[in-house]
Amino acid sequence: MLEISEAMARAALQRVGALRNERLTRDAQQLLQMIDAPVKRLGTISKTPERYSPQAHLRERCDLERAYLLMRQDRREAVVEARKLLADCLRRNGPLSREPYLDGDTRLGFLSDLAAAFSQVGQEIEAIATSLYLLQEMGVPAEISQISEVVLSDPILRGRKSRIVTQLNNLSVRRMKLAYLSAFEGDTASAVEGLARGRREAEEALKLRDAGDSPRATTARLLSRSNLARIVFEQAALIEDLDDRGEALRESRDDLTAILKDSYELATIRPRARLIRAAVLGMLMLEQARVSEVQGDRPTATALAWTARVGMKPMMDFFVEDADEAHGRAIRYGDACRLTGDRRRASLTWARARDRIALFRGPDSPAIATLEARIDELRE
Amino acid sequence: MDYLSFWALGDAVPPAFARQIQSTNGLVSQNGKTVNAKLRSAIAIAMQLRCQHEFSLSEREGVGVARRPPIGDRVLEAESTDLLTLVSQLPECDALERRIDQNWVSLRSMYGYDAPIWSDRVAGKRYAPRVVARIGICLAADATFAPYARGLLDAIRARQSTLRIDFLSAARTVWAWGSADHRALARCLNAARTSPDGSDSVGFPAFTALYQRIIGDHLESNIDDESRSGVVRDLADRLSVVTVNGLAQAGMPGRTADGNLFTPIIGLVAAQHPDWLPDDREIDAEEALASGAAPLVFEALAEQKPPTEIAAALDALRRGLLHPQTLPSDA
Repeated sequence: MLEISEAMARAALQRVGALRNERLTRDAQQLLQMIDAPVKRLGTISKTPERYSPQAHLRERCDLERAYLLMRQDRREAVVEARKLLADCLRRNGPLSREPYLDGDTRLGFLSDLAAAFSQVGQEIEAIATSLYLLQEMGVPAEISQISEVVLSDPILRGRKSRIVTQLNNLSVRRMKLAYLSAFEGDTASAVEGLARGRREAEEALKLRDAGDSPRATTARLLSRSNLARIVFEQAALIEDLDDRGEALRESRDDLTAILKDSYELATIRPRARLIRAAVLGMLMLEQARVSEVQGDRPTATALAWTARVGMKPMMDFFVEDADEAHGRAIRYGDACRLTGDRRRASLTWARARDRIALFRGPDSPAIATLEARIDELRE
Repeated sequence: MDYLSFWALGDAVPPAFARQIQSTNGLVSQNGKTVNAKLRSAIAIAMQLRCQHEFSLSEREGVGVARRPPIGDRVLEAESTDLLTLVSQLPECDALERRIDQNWVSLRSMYGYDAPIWSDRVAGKRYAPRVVARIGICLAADATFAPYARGLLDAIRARQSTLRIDFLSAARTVWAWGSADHRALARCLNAARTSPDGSDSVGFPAFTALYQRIIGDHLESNIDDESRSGVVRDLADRLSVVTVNGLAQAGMPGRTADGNLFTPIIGLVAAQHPDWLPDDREIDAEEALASGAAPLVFEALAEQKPPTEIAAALDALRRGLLHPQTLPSDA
């Protein structure tokens, strides 16, 4: 059981998380610094907690929160420090830890959040590895196509269904992020492979969703449908033959439009989530615009790019100030600006995407050179 | 009753403040010994309601653990209708019953168990109310939740924000207490606050007091108004019931504070007092942008309006709401 001052710190940490969640990053940061501070502190956190104790859980949660806030600072040193904190959490509780500090359900829940944090700090491979380990620890079969069948027929796994669905969804999203950058860097084969696996994971996640009509079930299903439709769109965008790609994108657009309409009709879905789905449709329209551009149909390309730009714009405004911005969306937004004749904005957006890729993937990422070349082309 | 009661015994509280709290709540007598006895009783029950996985390494190795194993794991596996039976079998509850019969009778009214429906002695009852077990659970929940509530209020005071974010923080704090740190106790609290026939549930005073404080702080200028105070108390009590109900799923994988507690809480507040939540749009520019932008974006994607027209409207919206550091204008 936590001591009084530790329980107070635990509560203060919940406040930090709520502020961060609502994007009040500075307030969250300042409050976090007051926990365990030398004076006027909001509770205490043990630096050397005993294994399996609630104090150990509190320490891990605090480090995770600290890492989340560090990665929003947009500085290389802060990102490095955040990654170190996450790596330490993994070392203490992950697959290589002989004697983890947490165990049981507490450990599973923490590793799930740790995987999400790895993804946020740009370490998608670590995030994927952590999620796969988590699935393995829960007893989920390694063969993806068997997952839904096994989970639904096993009473113990059925009890963990919601956590399993979360991991499958997260895996598919992480593979999508990686695939976009791989393709952008010219490694289409890896992108295709990653998307194929991500698609199977997204399909299994959707099969595991409840079939009921309750708002909760409908909202959850829509999330999985949206994930799957996005992967299908990303796969379509990689088809080499232009006519085939155009056809596949048209089909995908119908699906994404239907999902968007459902998202706007459901009262339980918040405006921000609607805009995220609108941005995905915007990205798809940008890919259609690029097909039209290559086919020499400039008016269609411009018209599609304008709509794409509007679809993505609010999300660009939201995430312009912190690290949650998705590289794929930023690069495509720049393309939409270019196709609509706004070279200055395209250049600014790509320069920012370049800096963020350098920040999160390192200065040697091939995507940086590709973006530099695009920016140079705009100048000519 | 004040939920700060037990926490007030901690060293960190100035004695004068502690005395002030003790004199304004009904949990303690003027005699400090009574307080300590109740606190000991509460903690003993809370310790018995721990799960094996909450044990530290040394406890797992038998250091500092009583020979009698705690029943937390059995609680999590039991049907909700059996929880009070399990708790009532604890020797700690026998001791508590004796104390209630002797001189702790006020605990019955403190937690609202003095009405006839809770009487064990009413003939022909289909359900045993098990009031002593209920009181024991409430005492344990009170003692363990108090520092969480105190920590949250301190943090809210240190970094003030909107009522919505305060409710989100409260929901997450209750969930951290109940779903992660004291999950068996939280499930038992849900059972303890449910009527004997399972048809109805009542709030928990500690949660009610916390919500009352949070709402009151946001409506400070009007809180002296008698009718407003009644409205605040009424809403706080309803939120407390929602919270107690949400704890039925404490510790279940995949259940979250946001889904289980915050969503119903904010839904209730928005339905009953929408005017109490206007600050979201005034303070959270991004939320305002999202609310304004979503329908505009849809009009463009559904090809209902030209995208250039929508782009200009989005720009106007953003100029009015977001920080000037954002990307240059699209217009």
